[in-house]
Amino acid sequence: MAKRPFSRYGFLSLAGLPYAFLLFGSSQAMPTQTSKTSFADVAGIFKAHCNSCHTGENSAAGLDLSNPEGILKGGASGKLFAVGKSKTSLLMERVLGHGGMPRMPMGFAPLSKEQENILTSWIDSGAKIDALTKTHWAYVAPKQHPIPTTKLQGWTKNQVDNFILNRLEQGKLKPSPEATKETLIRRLTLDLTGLPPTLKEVDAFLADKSPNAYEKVVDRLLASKHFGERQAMGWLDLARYADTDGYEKDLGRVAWKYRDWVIQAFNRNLPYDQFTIEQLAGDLLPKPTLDQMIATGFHRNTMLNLEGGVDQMEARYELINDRVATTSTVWMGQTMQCARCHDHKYDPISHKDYFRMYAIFANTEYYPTGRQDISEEKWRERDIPAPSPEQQASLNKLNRELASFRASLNKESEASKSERESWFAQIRQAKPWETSKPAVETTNGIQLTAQADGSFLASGPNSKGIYRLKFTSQEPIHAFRLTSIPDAKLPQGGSGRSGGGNFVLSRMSLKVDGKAMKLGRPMTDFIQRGFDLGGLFDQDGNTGWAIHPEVRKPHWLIVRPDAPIPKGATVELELANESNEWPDHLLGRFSLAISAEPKDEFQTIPSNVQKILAQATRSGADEQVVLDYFQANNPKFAPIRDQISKAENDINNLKQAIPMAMVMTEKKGNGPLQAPLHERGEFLSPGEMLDAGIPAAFGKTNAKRVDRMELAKWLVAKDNPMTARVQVNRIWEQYFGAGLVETSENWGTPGTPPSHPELLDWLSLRFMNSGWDMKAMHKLIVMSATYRQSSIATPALLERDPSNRLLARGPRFRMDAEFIRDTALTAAGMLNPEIGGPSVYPHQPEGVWNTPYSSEFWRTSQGKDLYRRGMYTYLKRTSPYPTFTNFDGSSREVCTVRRGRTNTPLQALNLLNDPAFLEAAKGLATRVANAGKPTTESQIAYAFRLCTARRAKPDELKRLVALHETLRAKYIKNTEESKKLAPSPERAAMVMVANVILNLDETINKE
Amino acid sequence: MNHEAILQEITRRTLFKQVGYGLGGAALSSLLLDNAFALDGSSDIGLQKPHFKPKAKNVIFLFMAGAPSQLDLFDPKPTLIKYDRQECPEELLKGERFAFIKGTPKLLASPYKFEQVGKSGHWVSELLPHFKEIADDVAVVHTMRTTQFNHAPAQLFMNTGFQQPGRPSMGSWLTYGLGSESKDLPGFVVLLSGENAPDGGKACYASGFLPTVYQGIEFRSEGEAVLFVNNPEGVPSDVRRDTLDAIRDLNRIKHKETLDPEIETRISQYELAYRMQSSVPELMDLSKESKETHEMYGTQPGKKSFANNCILARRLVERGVRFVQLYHRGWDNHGTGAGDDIKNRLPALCREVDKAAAALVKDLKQRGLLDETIVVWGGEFGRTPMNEGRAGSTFLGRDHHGHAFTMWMAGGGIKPGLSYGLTDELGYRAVEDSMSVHDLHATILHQLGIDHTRLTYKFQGRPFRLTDVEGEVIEKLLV
Repeated sequence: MAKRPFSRYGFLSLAGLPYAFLLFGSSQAMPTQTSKTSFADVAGIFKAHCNSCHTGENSAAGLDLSNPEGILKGGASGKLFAVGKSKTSLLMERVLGHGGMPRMPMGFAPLSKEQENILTSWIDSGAKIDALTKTHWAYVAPKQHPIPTTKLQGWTKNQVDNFILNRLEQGKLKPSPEATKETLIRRLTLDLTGLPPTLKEVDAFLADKSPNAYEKVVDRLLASKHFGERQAMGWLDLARYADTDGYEKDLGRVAWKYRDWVIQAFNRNLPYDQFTIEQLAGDLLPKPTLDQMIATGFHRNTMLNLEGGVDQMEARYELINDRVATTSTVWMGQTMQCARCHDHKYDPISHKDYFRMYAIFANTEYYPTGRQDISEEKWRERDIPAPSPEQQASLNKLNRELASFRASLNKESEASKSERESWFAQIRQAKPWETSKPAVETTNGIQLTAQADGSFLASGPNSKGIYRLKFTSQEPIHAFRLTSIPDAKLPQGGSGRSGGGNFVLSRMSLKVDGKAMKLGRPMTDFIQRGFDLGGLFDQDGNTGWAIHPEVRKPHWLIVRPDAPIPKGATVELELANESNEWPDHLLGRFSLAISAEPKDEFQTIPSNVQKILAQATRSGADEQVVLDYFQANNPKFAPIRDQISKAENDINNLKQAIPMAMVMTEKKGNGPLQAPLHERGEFLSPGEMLDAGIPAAFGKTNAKRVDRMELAKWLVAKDNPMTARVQVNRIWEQYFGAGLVETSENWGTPGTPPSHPELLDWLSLRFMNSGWDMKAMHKLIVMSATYRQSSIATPALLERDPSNRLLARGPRFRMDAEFIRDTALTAAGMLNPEIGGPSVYPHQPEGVWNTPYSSEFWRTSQGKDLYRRGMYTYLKRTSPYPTFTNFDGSSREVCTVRRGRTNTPLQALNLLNDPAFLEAAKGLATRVANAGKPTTESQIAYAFRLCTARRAKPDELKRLVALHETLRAKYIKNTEESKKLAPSPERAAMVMVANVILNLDETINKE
Repeated sequence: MNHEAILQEITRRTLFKQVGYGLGGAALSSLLLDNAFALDGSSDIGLQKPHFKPKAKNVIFLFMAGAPSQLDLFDPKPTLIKYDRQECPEELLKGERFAFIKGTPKLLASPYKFEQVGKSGHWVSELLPHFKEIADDVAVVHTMRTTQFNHAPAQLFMNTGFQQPGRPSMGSWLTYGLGSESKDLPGFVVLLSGENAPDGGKACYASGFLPTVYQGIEFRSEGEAVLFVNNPEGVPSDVRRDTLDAIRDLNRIKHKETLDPEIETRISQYELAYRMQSSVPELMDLSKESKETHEMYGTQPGKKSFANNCILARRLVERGVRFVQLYHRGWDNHGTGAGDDIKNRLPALCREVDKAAAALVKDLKQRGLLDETIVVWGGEFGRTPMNEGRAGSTFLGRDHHGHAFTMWMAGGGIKPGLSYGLTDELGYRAVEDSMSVHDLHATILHQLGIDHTRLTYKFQGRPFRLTDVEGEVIEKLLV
């Protein structure tokens, strides 16, 4: 494919065609003219409707409609037409379905009348083939166009308006008047922050008569910390950001550091080129900062199938495919994924191009984890700790403190040589541990079998139980030492009897001469996380000593009686598992030893220390061992050791609290990155090895090794025709509801051509020349007169331009799901405007989550976290938050460029009855009742204004007051229902009035 | 037509009259048929009318999520008895990928007795005693095949024709194509029972790139039947009516000013929402069903059960709902323990579904609904003729297997009593008449009057179909 000339793709220019009708002043007037039909129009029809079968050497019926030669040559049935004779042409016969053969395009909708007319008129007017060298417009770098002149003077506010107005004037249309100030500030605030304005902000704007009052609002909002949140919403759909892995188990992941990076990147106005580089290749920057590493989370957001039995190599294959598709969609507006199975049917992307791109993404590091033998091996990429600046500062401080404590301990211990030697002398005298050989009894039929070394091995039933060890003391007893011993006969070769070789010792207790004696001062060399030795002495059967994951190593546990046990006493020690949670976690093999040494510190001398101290002389290495031991155990240093362990603890706790970030890291190496092409895109059919590279038709890079960094740099190079256009178009779309290119997800030949091609070019160049300044682009658009128009339509305009592509009026459309929630909470005064952090769990109906092989559950947030902005709601891919699904929110399983904007009864039910929205209604009713408004009417007026930023008109207010009166009367009669809603019938009625206002079309629309 | 224009077109056309749920094709097709507007072919707003005369109107898909073992239910293999617990021949393993089997597994005979039932002579195991009663109404396909061998991708494939999330499910395609005949219920309803939700998640019944009005709506047995359908505490229905009137009046004022047609749509959606507040409880209320009916299905009033969902399925199609999908999650009988093996767990699952599934077919038949309703029973794949024995487990179980597995279909012009396809003597592969997932989709669409190659939707510049670029109507299955 790459060998074929680029021009074969390039003969198509649809520019202007579908919008042409708008200029003719009638919605019916698609061009049916005969004289002006160009080959580009014809080729456009073939491309969109025929080329999926009739392309290339192996095309259906040997007919290749993808180039002029093929069109002129015809296929197996012969020539398609004779010039001037459309009526008898094979082409028209097949297109019309005459002659008993299937109508073309087979399997798809027939061509429209207009399209048929284009074909006939082209044949009849000479079948001229021209303009063949014209590359698809989107693949040609944007050109500088002169700023159009306009007839209407004084309307334009910046050059954007010249383009828009010029086009309107061509269609004999006039722009709409400017929207009211209330509408404008609400529109701006919703657009730039996703929140409604406060009434204080509205009033200030209304009062500000200065010429730049509007610009002041714009500047304030661009500087708002909520600007980044608003912008991030769209980007997170592109980045398919979510809080879970997707697929079957759909387990949680810690991904929010990336989300917060996006918010902050918009807030600090990171230029779009840098924004691109950091997300695609931040790890490949020289000495990347933590922030730049976090940015690479963009592509870690890919779904990951952790279902048991998944072929990990295939899972990784799909992961990389998703990265290719998403990169191509987000930055290039291309559907490269179409070329995964075969050469792209419409665009100049070959099957090989696809896998060259694939190779760029196939070089990230990953690590197998989990057990391969039971098909639970998972390949995971790297996660790194991502402390906040505050956390990093605390960590640094603690590390410095720890170092200084250690230094002073070293200094002091070295200085106290004589003390040290006398302590060592005492150690030499310490009484040794003696292995005890008790008589044993058990409950529940468990067997304990004595082993040659004095230990015991358990067998038989394995469901809770008590081991009683009885003996008579031969010496005074100051301590007991229990040792767990791994044994090949136990599961996993561990020392416990659970499936994993672990045990839970939930209680130890002691009787001396038949009387209970307390045990305490426990010590161990190892304890499982989440367990606590204190639990050995309480009644809770689920706490105590356990040793996962170190089940294959011996471990010891020392406990001490409250008072020394005298010689000759009857000693009965109980070791119990009384766990309901882990009843099958009995101790498997163990031994018991007793100590007559009275001092705790001399009961735990390791054998190597004892051995060294027994020697007459000590080597340097040995000296270090005993010195370390002295430091670590001599009571003299207890205070400083406490400081050290506190610091260590603090460091550990802090490290636990530091969130992880999912990042990309690259395998090192030289030479070109490579990956195999996969025949038909199938994982099981790897073929020829290819060097990584960008699609040949779009250019090339000079680098030998085309990696993610090279790709990112190529994307943001000034001569790349796609990147800037695609991004400015998305920005435009956000404000007007549709992009200048309406198919913002597809800029290939099947995409729609721009409604205002010159404006698109002009904006793109301006964007690049500004240093990819995103805030400047936002400002440019919202400062335009085009943006400031009223969205009120007229019947004539609705007829002429129902979808408002020419922008003779301002935008009006429903807000995105998350902002509907934000608006309700803001109006109610309940919104917690905190930015970032872990995702939260607002109220969600019971039973929504029910995932196979997962114990994760919706843990409803507490307190203020219940009222965070919608974008912070925990997003589980297989079961997204229902309210957001109802309002076309994305499940973020795959890259979403444009959300739908539907209008359904489920949305109505949601706003009417969802407890979260009723709570907002209650909040709003309370807020207006407490605002010092004297009358019901003034309270309602206030509520209305909080939701819409404008004053209710008399008829609106009258209707709401009448509703309140009706409901109040009803609630007075029905106090039982009233009480369920509010303390008084008056307030209950107000809650329902608030419910009504929150449900108004205007409240959930930007207009 | 592009996405936004389609939505607008859909919205615009709905304004002609108050229409059924979701602005879908139903509205469109009935509207256009009323006008005797007969444009053939497909377009981006569903179908103006079916491509040809439909045999069926509705589909009830009983999805056995987790993948039932065909070898213990419908496809007896004497050879497996002969070679029970002997090593599997190497040639079966060559080039194969299994989810969990490692090394050379052993063949596993079914521990259950089979018999041939009815005039059709369908084979069925003792685990499904009620199947006998409907055997002659059912076509059994022994040779379904899928390309996927993990649950989530395979369920997505069976429901959407693609193994990753993002494509519309069959119910979405059908409601997009044909709309729903129900005025006050969604056209695509999902009912869940069993251990969990399906492994593929809500993507199994999502609308993918189609507008979300076509997504499957869960009707729940616990809590509110449809999320947010009930008025909150303290809002009696007359109060709700008062508020709806006020919302309507204020929206009308707004519409008068701005002329935005979306406001009119919203007004009608609020009315539909109000109607759903009575139609949904009326639907879910099984108390008016006769005692005999309850006994036939084995319902458990007030519980989340497959049997209750089967009655609801019938009630839904009675009310014109196009596509009803039941999920019963379990069936993943690997034999890693008593909780998922063939000896203990499989019989329990069969008891949960056998009686009610049979009752559904009988009930539809006695009410004259079976002719226009296709009932489909089956999972995302089948299970291996080999014992899995994961990590040395001594419980009997089978691994995932996609080369040949059993599904059955009844009604809607599917040939009753037909046995379709033969598997080899181990039940490993098809030896006669294999049927792919795309074939199944093509065949179901065909019965509803749709040429699967012509029900398309353009997304990212490409026309997509439920059957991707494959699928054939299996004529042998049809009356």
